[in-house]
Order: sequence, then C-alpha cells, then structure tokens
Amino acid sequence: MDVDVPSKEKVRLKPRSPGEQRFTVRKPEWQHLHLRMTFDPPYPADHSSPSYPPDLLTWKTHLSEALNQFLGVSGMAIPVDFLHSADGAEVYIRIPREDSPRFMAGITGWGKEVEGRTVGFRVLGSTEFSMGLVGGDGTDLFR
Amino acid sequence: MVRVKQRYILFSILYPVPPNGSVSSPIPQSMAFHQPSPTALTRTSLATIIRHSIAHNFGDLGMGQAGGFAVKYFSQATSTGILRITRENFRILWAALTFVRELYGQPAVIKVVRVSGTIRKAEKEALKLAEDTIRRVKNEHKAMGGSKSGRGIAAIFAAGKSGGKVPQKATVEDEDEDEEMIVDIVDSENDDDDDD
Repeated sequence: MDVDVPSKEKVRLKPRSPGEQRFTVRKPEWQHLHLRMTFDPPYPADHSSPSYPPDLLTWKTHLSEALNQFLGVSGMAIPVDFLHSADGAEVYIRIPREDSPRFMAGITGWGKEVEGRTVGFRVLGSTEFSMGLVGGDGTDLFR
Repeated sequence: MVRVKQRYILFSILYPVPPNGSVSSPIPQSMAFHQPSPTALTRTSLATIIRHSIAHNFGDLGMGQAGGFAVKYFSQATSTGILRITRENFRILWAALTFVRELYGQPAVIKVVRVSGTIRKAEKEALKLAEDTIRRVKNEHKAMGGSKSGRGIAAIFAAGKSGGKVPQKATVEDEDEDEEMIVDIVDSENDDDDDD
C-alpha cells in the first residue's frame, strides 16, 4: 500500500485539513468476477428442474473440472469464494487477483455436454473491487 | 532472427527407500539414497513420466508451455540426467519434476542439481557430481578402516548391473591415487528428433 504524499506546491494551493491522508491501493488482493453458466440449447426462461437453475455445488464441480483440464492440479488449487448467487445461473465470485487471467482463460475455454446441453461459462464482469460488479459509484458510503 | 534460448536442467534421482531383496554387501552411508534406477527407466519412459506429471499438475496450458522438453541424457547407473527446455518455461518443468513421487512403484525424489544455459556446463556439473560421489565413498571407506579399497564402489555399481546399455561408466583404476573417469555424455544438438 503506497501512501501518496502530496507535493509542497499542492499543499500551498489547496491546504488539507489536518490529519487528512491519501493513499492508493495499487495491488488489491482479490479479483471479483460475475459469471454466467450458459446452456446450449438454452433452457426456457421459467424452467425449473433439479439440473436448472444450477446450485452452488454444481457451479463448484464445473469450475473445478474446467480448471483441472486447463491448469491441472495447480488450477484446482485456486480458491474460489462464492459471494452471491443471483438466480442460480449467475454468480458473483472472488479469487486471488494474480490467478484471474489463468482462471478466466481456463473457464471460458471449457465446454461439456450435460443432459444433451453444452454447458459453458461466460464472464459478465471482472473487477478488482466488488463495487465494480454491484454497480453504483459508491458515493453513498461517504455520505 | 532471434535465437531460441534454452535451459539445461541437470537432475539426479534419489531413492529414499532401498529396493527390496537386493544388495548383499552393505551400501556406504553416503550412497544410501543414490541407488541405480530401475532398468525400465529409459530416456523415453522418463520423458513419458515427466509429461504425465506436467499434464497432471499444470494441465493443457502446462503441456503447451513445457511439454516440448527433451531428455538429452540419462544414466541408469548414476540416476542422473539432463533435460532441455525453453528458457521461459524451465520452472514449470522443474516443478513437475519435484512433484514426481515415485518411479515404477518405488518412492523417488527428483532433485534438480543445476540449471544451466549450455549443455557443456551441465555436463561439467554431472562429472563433478560423479567425482565427488566417488571421493566421498572412498573417504568413508577409509574412515571405516576398510583395507579392500574400491570394494564399496564395486558393490554400488554391481547393484546397478542392468541388462540395458549404461552410457556412463565410472571406473576406478587400482587404489586411491590414479582414478579415472570415463564418461561419455552425448552432446546431441542434432538428434532432437529422437525424443518426441
């Protein structure tokens, strides 16, 4: 974490209130992803069965399989935190930032036939801060 | 045109558990882990085992990055060998070697002794390794008050008597003074096609 010390000119132009500090988070620990599980041919919109919408265990199984194929045991070792599941077909997850390029390459290049449908993943969003997925500029936090 | 940079990995295989039902004479302590390799372990079968390890640990991506290595040299008698791999990916291969836990059902550890940019340096290190080993065994033998010098070494290489051709011979002439090593490591820059 680097503390951005204001230069002297800046201080002269615009005095800061005492005790104010600024810092920039340069290398965050996590990467947040918004994923959708895709089915081809797709399920009808209001379809509901044991296999759709997928539960989190199904998500975990399929993600592990994709990672195992592309990255082997070292890929399966990437820790995945499921933060939220919107309706089953979409989830918000959190993974270590350094692993995210490999992770995304692994899951997006994967496909498998399950019950006559090809299952795959689509990355709908990828950001270092969860606010980037949730939406909003976060100003309400500081009100 | 940019030359493709390579790395040469000199490794030695350690066998923590002695092979069952073998070796009549006791093995010198310094040689306890340095057993000869099983006869089935050849350059090609070793490459297959390492490739399996890469595929298991690093998947398709790892195979694409490090699957193109070549076993340039392997000696069953001394359980040492040299691998060639592109410079960017030698760490993947190294990790895959480390993750090998057994060879033909026998617990084994593959230890990377040296990573070098030229095969010549790797060969030199292999020679030094073999010489050091012989010196150590001799010293140990002397310390134990053994009069029949050279017997311990003979026992080690007798244990490794294998049907296959052993490319590396370490012969000890006479007593301590004039020892001579005959090692023919094939510097095969041109035989790349025989591995994969």
